[in-house]
Amino acid sequence: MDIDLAPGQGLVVTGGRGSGKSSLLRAVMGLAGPGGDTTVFGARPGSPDALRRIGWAPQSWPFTYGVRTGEAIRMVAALKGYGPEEAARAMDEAGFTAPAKFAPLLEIEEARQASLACALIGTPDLLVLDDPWEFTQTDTAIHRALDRGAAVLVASSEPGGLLGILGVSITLKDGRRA
Amino acid sequence: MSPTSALSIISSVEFRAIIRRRWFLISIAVGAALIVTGTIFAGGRDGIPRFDALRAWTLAVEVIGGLVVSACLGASVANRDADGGWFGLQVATGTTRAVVTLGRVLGRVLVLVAIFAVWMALAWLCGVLIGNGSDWPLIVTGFAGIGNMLVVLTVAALCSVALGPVSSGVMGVLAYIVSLALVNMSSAAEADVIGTSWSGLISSLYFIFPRGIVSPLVADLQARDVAGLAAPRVEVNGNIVFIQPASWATVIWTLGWCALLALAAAGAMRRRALS
Repeated sequence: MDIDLAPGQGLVVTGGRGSGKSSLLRAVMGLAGPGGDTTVFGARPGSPDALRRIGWAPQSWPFTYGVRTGEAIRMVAALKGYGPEEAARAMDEAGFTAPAKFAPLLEIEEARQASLACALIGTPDLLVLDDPWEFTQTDTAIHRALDRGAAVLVASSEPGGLLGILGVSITLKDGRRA
Repeated sequence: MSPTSALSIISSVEFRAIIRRRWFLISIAVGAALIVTGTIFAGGRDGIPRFDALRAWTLAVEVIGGLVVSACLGASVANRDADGGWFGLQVATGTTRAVVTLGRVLGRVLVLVAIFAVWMALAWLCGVLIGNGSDWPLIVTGFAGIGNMLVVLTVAALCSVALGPVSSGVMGVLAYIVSLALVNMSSAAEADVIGTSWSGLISSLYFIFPRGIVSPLVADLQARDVAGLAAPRVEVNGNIVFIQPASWATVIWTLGWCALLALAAAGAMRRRALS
């Protein structure tokens, strides 16, 4: 599979369940899977320098038990070198309004917004969104990222309006480009 | 973000997350209830038996409760959070996997110390209330218990990279049993109550692997056979074996092993798939 994502470009990866969309994104992030010849910002996937330039929104509930969601988002901000005010701004931009809730108690919509907030911390040069729900805030955040020259990579089985915003899409089937 | 700052952030978040969990509060409460029960039991006695009774109850809480807690803490370092996305979320910030792993281990070590601190403080207070005075040997035994449980925690942490939580916890407990068995068998070898063909092997293993840390108090209780189920008297081939208290070299050796196991867990996480 050959994918080249330049600054200011968007790409939607679509496909059915188990087609390899999330695996592709995790490979880009260096979290799992074979890296192959992939380079992200000129470095191997998963290199700390490359990861610091990426905003990552994992799918489903990425938070552990016992952590308040706002606390988790502030932790992500702190590890990226930002203060709590930046975490608050990202939560606001993502439309997330339940920072005091523990992760298991989040509604699915809130979990997707919290995940998006993690990705919006700072000014990432690449947004990687795994199964984002299409809230107004999602569309706005993608528009803003593209406008400032960041690249946006999205995986979604039902991309809806995201196809129109990002323009380019590829479809996966059984881990290969269909 | 320096590795030290990242380590501090991750360990403090993990610490707060764990102390809010129900099982943490239940562990502290059950241990405290058993120590209070032991105090009531001990309070009905006089002299040395009063000391022995409270010490044996406290020792039982620290060994059995400590094993459960440390196995649970170590076994949750990687597997579920690595598969569930939490570990990946931390790594995706640009923090190295090694630092994330060590931060998670450190957070759990702090939880273990916090639990033991509560139990030790309560046992000390109970001892004062029933007239035992400040029982410093019991405090020293608590610190020895923390050292032993660090072996369980770090072995379980290393196993949690590849195994499920239950298997990892069992491996941690097995490591504790082996570390104590090595101390017991080494003492038996020194006392010439086992065959010479085994002595060489036991001595070799004793000098290589982590060793159980036996406090002077536990050695004394064991010798008089009043330590209860947590530290029964050691008999080999019908001979009573007197266990010597751990030397400082043993303490340093075992803690060094714990540090090595934590680093091994950090290294093993380098190639583990994350969600």
